[in-house]
Amino acid sequence: MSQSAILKPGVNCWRIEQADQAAFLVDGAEFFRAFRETVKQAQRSVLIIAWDIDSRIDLVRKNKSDGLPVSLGAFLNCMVQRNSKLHIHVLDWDFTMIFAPAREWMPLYKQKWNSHRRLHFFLDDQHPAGACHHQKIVVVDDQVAFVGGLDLTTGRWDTTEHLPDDPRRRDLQTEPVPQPYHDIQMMVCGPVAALLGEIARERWFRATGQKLVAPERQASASYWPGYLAPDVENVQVAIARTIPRYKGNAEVREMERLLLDAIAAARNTIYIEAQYLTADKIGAALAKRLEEQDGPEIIVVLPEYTDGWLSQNTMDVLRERLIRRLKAADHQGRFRLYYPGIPKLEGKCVNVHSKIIIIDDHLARVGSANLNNRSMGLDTECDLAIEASGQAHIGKAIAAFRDRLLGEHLGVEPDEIAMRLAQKGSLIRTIESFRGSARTLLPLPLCVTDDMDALVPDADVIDPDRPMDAEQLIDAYVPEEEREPARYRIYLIAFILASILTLAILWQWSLLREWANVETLMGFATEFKQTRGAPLFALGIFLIGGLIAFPLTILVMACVLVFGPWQGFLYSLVGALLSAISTYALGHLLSRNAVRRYAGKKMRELNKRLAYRGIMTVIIVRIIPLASFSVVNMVAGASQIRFRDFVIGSAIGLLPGMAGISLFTDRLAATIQKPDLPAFAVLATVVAVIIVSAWTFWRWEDRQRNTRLRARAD
Amino acid sequence: MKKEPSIQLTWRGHETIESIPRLLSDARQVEIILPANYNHSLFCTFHPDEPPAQLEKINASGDAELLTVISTVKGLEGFAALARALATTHIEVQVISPGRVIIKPSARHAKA
Repeated sequence: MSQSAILKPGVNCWRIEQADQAAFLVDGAEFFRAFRETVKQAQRSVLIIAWDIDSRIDLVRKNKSDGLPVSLGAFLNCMVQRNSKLHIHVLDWDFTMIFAPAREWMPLYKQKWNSHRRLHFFLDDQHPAGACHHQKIVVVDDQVAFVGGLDLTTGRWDTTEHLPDDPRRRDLQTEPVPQPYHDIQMMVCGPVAALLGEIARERWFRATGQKLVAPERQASASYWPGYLAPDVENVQVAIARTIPRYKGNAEVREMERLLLDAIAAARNTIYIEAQYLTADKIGAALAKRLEEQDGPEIIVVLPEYTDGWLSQNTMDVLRERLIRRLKAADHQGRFRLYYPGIPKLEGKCVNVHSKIIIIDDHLARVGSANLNNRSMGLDTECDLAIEASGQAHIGKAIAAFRDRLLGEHLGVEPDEIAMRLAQKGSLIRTIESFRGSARTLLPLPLCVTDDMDALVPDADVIDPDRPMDAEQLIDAYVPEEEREPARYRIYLIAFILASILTLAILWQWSLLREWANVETLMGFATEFKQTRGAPLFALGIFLIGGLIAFPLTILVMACVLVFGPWQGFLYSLVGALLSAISTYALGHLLSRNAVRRYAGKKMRELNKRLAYRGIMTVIIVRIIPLASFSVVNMVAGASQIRFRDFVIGSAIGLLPGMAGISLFTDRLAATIQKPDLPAFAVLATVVAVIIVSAWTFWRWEDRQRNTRLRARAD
Repeated sequence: MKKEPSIQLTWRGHETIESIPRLLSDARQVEIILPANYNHSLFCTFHPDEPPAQLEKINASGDAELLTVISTVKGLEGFAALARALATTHIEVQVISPGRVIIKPSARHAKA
């Protein structure tokens, strides 16, 4: 008996349209190649909608050259150069600068993106605060389209072998070999591609205000690469989306509805591959099926741990909460969680980034939406789904797709999976019968302790399912004690500077001057400066000061007073870096809990920032210190931020502050020595410049952070 | 005679249309299930002013005149004949996603 239809336009999908051919492209190498071969056929239009894109990546890494460039930017430029009617539009999520180290630097100004007038590149910032544009769509002439979890960017290329340390995975020669990456893109050819073109053009219009004209479809044109065998032909394909409410646009939650309907309709098996598993409603729906006496088996393949320290300490904790609920509901032993095991990975894991669900031999869905809350209503997503509805050729294609994935994970041929499944009548028993010591699926261990769990707030804070308004964002992300307006901080800076000035004036006209006048102090300083080893002594003071958390500002001021502005600045910078390195090492050696006790309430905010590991993050944390110098160093060490990033970021980030303190100290000393109007004027100017610079940078960074802090869920 | 609460008919063109007047006397409502890809055309017909890329959720209701509107959709021209057949019958018509047309005797007239 055939299952009733799951796909319902206007309810759990946008539209359903015909695909003449469709293929499931498993892993980056296959997608990159198919993308390149299809774009080579482009006549009028290529639309690329991306979460991230990098012009530097090579699209092919092992095939013989066809004479065309292999790097993405050069290839797209070549395409528009050789065809005077072709326009290529690239719409990339407008990421914040805080993520710049992990992405292509300043893409808007890269020659590869702006050197040709028919290669149009735009950064899309039209989304709610904290959200991201997560769709990954490519449409060529409205004839062929790609939708899935793969962006054309670094770290995505990989083969189904997922070989440890495969040098071909390296996108940039300066970087280490990335971890193996497993992801899936669906390729469709036919009228459904035109609908995806509509979605892409609508996104372009919302981002730029520019209407793009749809290319005329030619029914007879063949864009399908000759080498690629389609997995299924003549199939109805549904498009399901998530669009958050934003600027008067209504919310669209087709994807969530589709997942809930699909889970409810499953009879025998639900097979899921997911990067995240934190969506509350999806979890509840799965739990409900597990509680049933004769419900389906549920098999979920996840990464052993997600990518990035922030994600591991937030999303992985939420993931385990949901998994515990599912395990509690699994009275019949019908729930299994696995991660791909590959020998010799040595501390790395396969980054399972795919976002698929397969229901029996009946429905397959591939797309960009994660099984987290934000993909249900906050981020912009696009998925494709096919449904058998009694059509045997589609049912076979869906089953073959699942068997192929399991074959990849278990290191066996898909046919063997199909045969064993037919024998065993259970997908769980089939998987268990193939599990071994070589390439295999391993049970996902639960490793979040109660202490770790207690540190992570509820999902509605970390993983919200709809946009928050400004008040909610502040409540969620700014600790109570830090919620005073930014202007209060400026008042505080002004107050401190004014206090120092007042003290200087009082010093000048008080009895204190008689006891310790400037000349006497300067004499001491000069004497010390001329002592052999004075610079080394100063550096030692910085080292010790760091270990006892002595305020860095005071050390810098003293150093400038003793050695003068230039030498004092240089010694301060070197001393501060040495101090930073030593306390970083201390943080690295101590356990995270020890650092947490030391850092206290600042830990959470620092963690959030440092988790986006990279030079830019360190620079920002240095310029806007959220905690004392030593605390920042220790938390950085404990958070396993890369040493190179830490040192370079610290050196760059400390420069503005130290230059400001040195200049201020030097001018303050000069004013005290000769308190005339010009000296006061210069000092006042220096103070004003420091305040304005600090204010400007603070506002800029605050805006960036509020907009994007939570957006990197991927 | 007690009426069936609802009769569901999968769309088969004229064959479906011809059976409806008779079935309306046997059931409280008749639900015509159209192929899912008619949802978009019906949405565009009943909600022409909606911005693009919205959730295409149809919700339209009225009398027999609505059947005439449905018949303007390519492939659903047969509904024009149904509109004529039921022109003198007091009915309520509802169109919902994903391509469902629900026809039932008007409650007001039924009571009368």
